[in-house]
Amino acid sequence: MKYIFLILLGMLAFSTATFAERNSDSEQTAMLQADNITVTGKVIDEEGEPLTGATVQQTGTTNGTITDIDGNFSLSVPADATLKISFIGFESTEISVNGTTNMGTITLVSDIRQLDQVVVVGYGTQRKADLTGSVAVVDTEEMKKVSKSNISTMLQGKVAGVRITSDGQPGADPSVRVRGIGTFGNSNPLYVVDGVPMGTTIRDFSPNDIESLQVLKDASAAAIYGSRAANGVIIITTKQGKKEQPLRIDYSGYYGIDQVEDGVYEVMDSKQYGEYVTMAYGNSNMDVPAGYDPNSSKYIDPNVVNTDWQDEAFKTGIRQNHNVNFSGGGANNTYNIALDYYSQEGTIEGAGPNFERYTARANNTMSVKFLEIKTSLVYSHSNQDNMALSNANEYVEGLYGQQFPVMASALITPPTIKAYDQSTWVLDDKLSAASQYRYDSFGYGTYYDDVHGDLRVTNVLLTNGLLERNSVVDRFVASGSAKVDLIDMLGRQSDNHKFNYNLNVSYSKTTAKDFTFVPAFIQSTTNYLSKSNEVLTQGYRSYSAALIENYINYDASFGRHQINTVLGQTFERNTEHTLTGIGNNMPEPYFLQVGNAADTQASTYEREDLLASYIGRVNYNFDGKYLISLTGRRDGSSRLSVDRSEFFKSASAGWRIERENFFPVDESIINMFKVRGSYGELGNDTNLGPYEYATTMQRGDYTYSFANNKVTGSAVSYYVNPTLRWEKKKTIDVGLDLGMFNNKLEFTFDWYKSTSEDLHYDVRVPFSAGVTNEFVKMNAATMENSGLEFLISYRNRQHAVKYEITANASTLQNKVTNLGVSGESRIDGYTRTEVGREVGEFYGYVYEGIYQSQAEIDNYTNSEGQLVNRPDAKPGDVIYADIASEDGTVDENGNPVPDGKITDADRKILGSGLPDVNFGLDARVEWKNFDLSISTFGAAGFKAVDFVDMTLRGSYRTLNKSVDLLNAWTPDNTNTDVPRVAYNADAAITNDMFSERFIQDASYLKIANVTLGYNFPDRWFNGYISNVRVYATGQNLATITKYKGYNVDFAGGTFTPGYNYASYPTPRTVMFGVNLSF
Amino acid sequence: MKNLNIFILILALIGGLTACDDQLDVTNPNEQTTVDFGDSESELQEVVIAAYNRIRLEGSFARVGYTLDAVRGDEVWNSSQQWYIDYDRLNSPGTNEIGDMWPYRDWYHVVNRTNYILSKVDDVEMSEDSYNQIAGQALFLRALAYYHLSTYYQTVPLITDYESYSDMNTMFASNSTQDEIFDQIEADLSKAMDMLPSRDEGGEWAQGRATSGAAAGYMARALMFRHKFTEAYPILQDIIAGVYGHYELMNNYGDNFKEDTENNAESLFEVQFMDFGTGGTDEEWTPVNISSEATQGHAVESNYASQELGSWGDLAGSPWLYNLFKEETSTDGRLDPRLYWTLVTYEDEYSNYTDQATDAYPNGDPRSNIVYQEEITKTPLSNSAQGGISIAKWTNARNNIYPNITNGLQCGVNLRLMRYSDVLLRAAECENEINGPTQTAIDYINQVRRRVALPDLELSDFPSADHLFEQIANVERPKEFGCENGRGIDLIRWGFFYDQSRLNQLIEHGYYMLAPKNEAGDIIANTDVVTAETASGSSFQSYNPGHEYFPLFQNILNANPNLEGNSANKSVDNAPAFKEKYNIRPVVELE
Repeated sequence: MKYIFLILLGMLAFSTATFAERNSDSEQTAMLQADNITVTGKVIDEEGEPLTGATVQQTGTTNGTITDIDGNFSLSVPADATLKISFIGFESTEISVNGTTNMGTITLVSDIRQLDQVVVVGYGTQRKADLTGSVAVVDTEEMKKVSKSNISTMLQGKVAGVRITSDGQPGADPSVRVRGIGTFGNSNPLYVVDGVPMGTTIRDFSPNDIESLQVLKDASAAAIYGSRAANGVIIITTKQGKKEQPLRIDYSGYYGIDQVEDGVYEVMDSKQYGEYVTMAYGNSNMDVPAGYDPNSSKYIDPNVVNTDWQDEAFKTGIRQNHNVNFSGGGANNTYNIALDYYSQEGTIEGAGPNFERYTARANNTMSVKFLEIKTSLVYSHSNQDNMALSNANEYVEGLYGQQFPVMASALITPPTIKAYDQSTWVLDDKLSAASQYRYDSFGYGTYYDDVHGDLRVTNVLLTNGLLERNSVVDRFVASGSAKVDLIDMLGRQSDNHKFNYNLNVSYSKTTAKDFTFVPAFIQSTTNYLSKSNEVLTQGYRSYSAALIENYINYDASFGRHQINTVLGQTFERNTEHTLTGIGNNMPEPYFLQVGNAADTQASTYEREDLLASYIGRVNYNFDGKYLISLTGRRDGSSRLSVDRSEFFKSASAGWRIERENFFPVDESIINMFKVRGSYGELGNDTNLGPYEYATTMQRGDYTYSFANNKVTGSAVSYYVNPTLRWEKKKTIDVGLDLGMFNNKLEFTFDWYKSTSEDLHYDVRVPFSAGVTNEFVKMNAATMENSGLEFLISYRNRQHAVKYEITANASTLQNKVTNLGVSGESRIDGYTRTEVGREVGEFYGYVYEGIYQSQAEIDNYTNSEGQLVNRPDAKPGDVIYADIASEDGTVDENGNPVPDGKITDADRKILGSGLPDVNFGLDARVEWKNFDLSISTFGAAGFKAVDFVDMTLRGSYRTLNKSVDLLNAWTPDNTNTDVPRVAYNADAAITNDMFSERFIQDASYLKIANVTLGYNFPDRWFNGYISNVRVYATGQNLATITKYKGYNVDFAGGTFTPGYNYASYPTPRTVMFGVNLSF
Repeated sequence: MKNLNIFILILALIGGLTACDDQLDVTNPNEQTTVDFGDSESELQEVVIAAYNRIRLEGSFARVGYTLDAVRGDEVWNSSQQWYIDYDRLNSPGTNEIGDMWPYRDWYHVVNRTNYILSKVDDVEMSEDSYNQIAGQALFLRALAYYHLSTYYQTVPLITDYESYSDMNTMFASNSTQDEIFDQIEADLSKAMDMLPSRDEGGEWAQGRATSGAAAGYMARALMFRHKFTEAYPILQDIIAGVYGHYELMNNYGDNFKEDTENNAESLFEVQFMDFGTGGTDEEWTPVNISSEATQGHAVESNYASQELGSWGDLAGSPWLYNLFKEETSTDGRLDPRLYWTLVTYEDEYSNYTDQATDAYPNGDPRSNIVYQEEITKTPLSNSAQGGISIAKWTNARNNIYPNITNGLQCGVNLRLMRYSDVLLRAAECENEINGPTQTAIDYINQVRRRVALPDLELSDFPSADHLFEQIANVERPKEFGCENGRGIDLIRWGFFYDQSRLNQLIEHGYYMLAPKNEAGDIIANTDVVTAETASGSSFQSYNPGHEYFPLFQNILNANPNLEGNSANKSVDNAPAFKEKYNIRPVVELE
């Protein structure tokens, strides 16, 4: 903590000596109050009407006046003073006097959301009112008041049609889905920061740098980004300094604590667990292990050993963020320099997860005559400690025994194992193999076969404490743009024509250093990492991205006609290089360099991706009433071979009906009534690797012998499809924008339907191809997404209590209409994807209760009255419905006919993992200097399966269980829905086969953020500091849901959207923050 | 005007910067791609080796691809009653990978590699000899692949052009008829016969490779599958006349089943396996890995040898085969040596033969009761739980080179796919089919019998072609080729599945006893004749029409919408179609 302030202070002193000098100048003048001059001016609104009673104040002082009935004012101030002009209902503005006596006309901009708000739409800007595509303009005002760790999560619940799901792990990249998944590959949207496409992740950027945020949702809006935009585009602009503004220093920071919600899963304590173990072993006719036999000398007294693994594994995490921003500008330049530090210490004991990030950004603009130049330099450094095993299921070479993600382990480890136990440093007397180890279990508790039974579980504190997985990422992005005003260059002037040439260049270099170490340890005969198998991996990854763009903008207006055009070309080159060294078998004590290992290996990899494009767009606008936009982009990608270039086109139109004479409603009631429609096509190639169209050779690996002399040969072993084409997404969108009561009430509606065709899908290679790979990518799937989106906001700032309420909701229907060459359905774990249905629906057996007696087993019949043969079932076991025949027999209506057996064929679709509706509700209230904002979001109409819940409720083995299992079926406890438990499932049909038993209703409403702030009046600080705000924020405070498990807003997989595989719990966070300006 | 110039200048600038499409060409720096491979003779030679490599996979000849045809036949039954059971009983439902998929998958690997060679070889500059060798081997191996594909799976896709793999329509190929496939096999082999050197011309190079003799032999096989006896006969006569190199029977029948007599003068073609212990350490199991350190052995021994002596104990010789050997003896009254080399039984008298001059072995008889370097006192069990007589061929039971079986892809005995004795017996069959029973036919057969000192057949004993056919089909061939790959194909080409009396005969041949016990209650390897009364069953009782071929695995069909199932998938009786084209010889009683 302390160091960070020192570093920031150091940076401040180092980089801005001149600014600091100026700053002290202004302080001196403020105190001297000498050489006053009288300045005059006039304050008007945007319509040109004078504003009466506006406040004109010398900043940092109480010196001020108000405007007269004509909007004029006169005030005596020092020659270098700054004036702040403010008026209720309008945004305040500041201007520097600079010795001028006549300030001229000052226009105040309405505080109420602007019709004329200008939106960045890619290679140009557009008035929001003129938009014809579906563009969500995100209100960043509120965001700026509350810091978030990640840009993506700032969007959570804010935009209709944008669903953000996230793992709670520090540094995790959330999954962002704009209008559902449009591809089976990477479905994250494209991020464009200050005009530079940044790919599909922006974890390395600081959210504090954001000035504005737009989401381009439909094909027409995103078309200018062509093949990059199929999953939507998020356009970010960062903060710039203002011209004619002295140095301004803003600080914002917060400090918060994270806690994992307690009691989400209720697991057994030692006493309960002992009862359970006795019951499970008894039902399998096995002797209970000695540890649970009170008569044994090895008995574990539940009063002595009763480990609460959740208490042991989870801890309080800490997150903090500090940001210093320097901004200002002269007549011809502006600057904005931001330094940011963010850190998050995770909520689990051990080496990880932790995340730390430093960011520095310097934005500059310079203009001379007809030339305007912008530069931006960003450096970021992040350091992430991962957990020993996360839900990404990292493969740990040489690690034996069953392994679970750390979070899951913390819940399923029996309470009768000690968390820490000094005696485990040496286990040689208990495990013969332990004699080969220097340290055995490092003082972490373990289980013993003769006491606890055969558990095969590793102490989670040991794995997470000993295994190190770390990534350090350094990223540098430099970008610059030049805009030439060609008309000005020729010495002409024209109000009706603008003709600019733009050049953008950008270069990004990212280096990542990965470090993994797995030391030798032994916990039991099955859970160990053998002495010679220690693995040390050190790797470097280096990425670069270079971009050059040339384009011209030509804007013209002829009478009531307005036209805006863009024409240009872009070229992008991405490279990657990796270098990995692996060392096995490390001598002790460990010095963690690969060269110290007995066995070493190294590997390298390189790739290059190129994208060349032409872009063009024409917007036409007649009288602000009829709006038309045509966009085209031709993309060529090096990931494709034939048809590598494709032209993507779109058209959209809008009609401002309220501007028509015949529109019956007065403008004071309805000030905007726009209908719009669009159609467009976008491409995608994110599911492809860099050289996937070219077949590779296996050189020298094919052996044979002639007369016992070995020979080697070569051949193509892996088949690739050389004729891959672009994926194409076609979207049709119809929308309505409504503004009422001078935009106090805004309403937006969209209906869309998108068809993603030629999706790159893993098709089963015909066996007659004679190759090794089972699957090959082909343009062989089609998926449709359609939905409705609503956004409504109401804003009232005319009273002492100012408030704004925004609500959004969106529906999503997904349907796979074509899958593979033969339409073969696919099963991924518990889900199935088939033609004509939604992607990844739950697929399993139908639960029909519990057999109460042997007679019921013997006489149980299916719907046809046929006996259902369950020879191995016992009373207390689950009854599954027999609904279909193994051989697929159907009746005359095509309905399946049961066959008296429980087989794979008896599985059916059991529910959807994709929400029918997503929604968000935000409210903001201001009263005097207080403000309060509440944001919530949720989803409804979907099911989820939780891996941890399934494991805790599993009927077999003796890992720790949910307390529900104490109520398991026994001959004496038959009135229960918990089936019989046993040590072993001794039949092929078990109680744990995937059935409705494990499917949960996951609809939820999450109170994501509540912030209460207080804004101190500037006058309290005598002008030394201003804009002082303190706030307290609670994040993730409560979730209203029936779902049992962490993270109901988890990020599922593409084909398993409703399956929560041990997602890291999003903690409940309380933060305290301060913003202030110098 | 000036504006316009500037505008044009800007457009020119943009245009100049946009000649970028060419720059989209990238090359893979990580691995060699096919783009720059296959343009030289030496690279094509590498692919030829890769094509050979694919014939020693589990689905081709390293295990099930070889043994499935034997178990389909009447000389071998599935003593473990698992793993091979669907193919022994001829009723696989199409969901058993080992026979419904593995051979299909692996043989198409050979097709792929050979198509690659044949698509490239015309464009590479090389000598005529090199061209003939490279293309000839590819043609032979492709024909070998299709021969086994079509005799296992009947109607498979015929892919002969490497370009087919890059076109969706041709890659998802539909079925070809068996006739179309055999037309291609004949076309390929007739070219290969002309292009390849003979084993004499090829010298050391030819050791283990496809030669013109191999191509000619397989040509005769292919022709005879479709009863083209008049075309096959001259080719067989040419082989006998030495047109394709010099071939002769080895004096010791056993030399065909040993490591140290591989690639001998009797062998037209054999799959090469590295001698035991000389290969690498990686066992290339299914799905097929590529290891430069492959063991390069086969696992037929693990299926054929006795479980009691350490194998997996899956396959056993049928009691019918054993008793067939017992029906006649060598001229000195001793047992047919082929029994010794075919099946592992304890025979009291073997101990008396050892090192004696016998009619079959005038220079010293190798036979003894030592198996895997240990003296046995009773017939070892094929399967410890079910009994059965274990098989000696393609094992080292008789070779005694090690005391314990190392299960897996370890056995180094080359599988002789075609021997000169097959040429002789096929010549006899053709002669009989064309001219009826003649002394010429009898002479061919007698050459084979004399090697094992069986008395000559007399023409007068065979009043009709049906009689001589019966002798060849159910006496000479089973004894000469017992438990070798090929019996199942013979049964199909003779139409034995399509005639009720023939089918009854197969059922009799197929009788087995499950877990027969002696008085002490121990499971024994029954060697007695098994009859309908004593049998536990016969594999052919469960024969499901159409299932003389193996069904295509369900996933094969799922992966290719253009592909139809074969007669086994559809359980369609092939008898009517067969009878329309070919004659089935009736069962006759031999003297």
